[in-house]
Amino acid sequence: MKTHVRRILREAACLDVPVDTLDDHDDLYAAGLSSLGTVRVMMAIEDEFAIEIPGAQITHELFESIDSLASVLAHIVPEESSATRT
Amino acid sequence: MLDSFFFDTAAREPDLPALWVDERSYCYDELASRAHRIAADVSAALPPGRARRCLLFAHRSVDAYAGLLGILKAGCAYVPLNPNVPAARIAAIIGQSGAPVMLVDRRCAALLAEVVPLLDESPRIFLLYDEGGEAGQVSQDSDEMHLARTALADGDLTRPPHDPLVTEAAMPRASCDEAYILFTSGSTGAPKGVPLSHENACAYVAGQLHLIDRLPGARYIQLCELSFDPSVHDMFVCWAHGACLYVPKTVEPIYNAAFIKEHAITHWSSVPSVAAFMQQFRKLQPDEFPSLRVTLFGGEPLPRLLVQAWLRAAPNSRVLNMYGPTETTVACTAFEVTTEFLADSRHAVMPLGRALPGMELLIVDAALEPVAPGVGGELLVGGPQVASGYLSADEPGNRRFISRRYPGHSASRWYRSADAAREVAGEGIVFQGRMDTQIKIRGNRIELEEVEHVVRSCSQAALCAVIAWPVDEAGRAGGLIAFVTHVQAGATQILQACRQRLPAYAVPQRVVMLDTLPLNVNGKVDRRALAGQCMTGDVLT
Repeated sequence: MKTHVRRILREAACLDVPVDTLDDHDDLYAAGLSSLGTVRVMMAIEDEFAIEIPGAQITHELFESIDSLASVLAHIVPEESSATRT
Repeated sequence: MLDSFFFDTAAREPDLPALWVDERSYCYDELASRAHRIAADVSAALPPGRARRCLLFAHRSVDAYAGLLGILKAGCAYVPLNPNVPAARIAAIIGQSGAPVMLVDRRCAALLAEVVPLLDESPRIFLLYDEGGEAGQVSQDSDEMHLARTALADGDLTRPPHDPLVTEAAMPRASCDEAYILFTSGSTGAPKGVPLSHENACAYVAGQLHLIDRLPGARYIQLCELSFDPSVHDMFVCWAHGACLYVPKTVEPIYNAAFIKEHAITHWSSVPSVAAFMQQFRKLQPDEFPSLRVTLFGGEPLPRLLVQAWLRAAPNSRVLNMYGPTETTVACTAFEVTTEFLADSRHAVMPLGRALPGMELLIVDAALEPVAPGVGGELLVGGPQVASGYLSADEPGNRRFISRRYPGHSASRWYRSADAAREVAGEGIVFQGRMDTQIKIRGNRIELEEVEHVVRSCSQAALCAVIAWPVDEAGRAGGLIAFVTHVQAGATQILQACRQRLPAYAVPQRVVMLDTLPLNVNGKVDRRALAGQCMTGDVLT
């Protein structure tokens, strides 16, 4: 899942620093994640996994780190959807 | 005086909560005491014979608000510095401000090492203490400053000469004195300073107190940085009404939605883009924000569909669309959205409405003569909120401030907004676009020439043009694209240089290298033709 998240961040997040230089727990907002970047990441995730993230789960904390994105997505994304892309 | 809106309430209602920030609230009396201590320190630190201006370099904390009030109480203008912009821009603003003193908080003190070496002459720098609100001198010299910062780590700072007897009473104040100086994008390539007087600011706040009723126990949110003028509204209208100002740790839209609910915010103001982001994050669910009573939008076109979504989420709120350049103090018009107006699908965006109390609007042609009713022209703004001019006497924009009498109007000084507008019956003023190359991105004002100046200087491009792209149906720009020819730098290098000199919202999303740019009949780069080529996809593939 973290690999998926990193690829999506590389493609959609428009961070100030390369995603590869970030640790899983690094603060993405501190790395330059903007509101626009957050929307792009959200839409990319929903496209990628063909899901709609429930409104209540779209929180500031969700986008805080690669860890937080991966752990929430692990609960939302159906297993086969994630597996076929690994 | 602008600060009286706070200190009068503090004298009357000392125990009411005035500020909630960093997870705790401060009552009026506590904030006032901190501000008084800082005022005494600022008065003592101010070199005689210098401009009564004080820079405020701080994140939004209790120290920042006490600092801002203390600076005003000391009879100085506050000059807020946004910590989130590049060091080169901060240094340019410090240099232009002419302020001899700076207050800095601990977090921003760490950024000084980058900023101070870029200054020709450093102001005297004082640290805002976390506790007690007293300032300690960092130093005016970069070497000493480094030592002081080392000492700072041990909590061992020397305090400035502190004379508790130095108070505002020692210093006569006048309503024409500067209250604050804000910097906006300047077409010459450097930020442009706009000083606003106490008279300007008090006229604005007094008008708002007519427009917005006092609501016992009201909670105002502050979403913008202190370097943007809606912050003046949030602070002083809130405090004049004896309400509490709530400052979220981040202005990020998702967080903002949770914050409104958690703190039962009653008064909310921001740019339409923030509401649009909240909508994209599915935060505008029906009846999501029942606590909201007053919503103010401003800074960019406000689409009807967005207001409808907002009102579904905040069914108990009034919605006002406000308009006004920084030069005319926060806002000079307002349109109160009605159910009937919203129901009419012909209204794609909300109008700007009518002049705020005390202000006058006039639409004129190129010869500055009033146009016939309903005809488009340039919007002039007159009245007590109009600034006296830009900080720099050399600023070419000063010609926008004109002295002129018009029959039927009492204003004698007007600001030429460069906004094209016309008057529509039942709606008031309707915005029709810019007459120059200033644009707004998510409410942030950008002179395209300023961005072009930066791109050109770092790339040595033969030709350079920056345009807003994409632009939605409501006329809102999503970002910028820079077009260059014959450059001596790569796109990555150019963007890197832009990030070092421009605020994040003014950095182009991409740089497109072309062999040539379309020119208009005058031989200038034709931005409109470029935008047309973007539309057809010709230049972006």
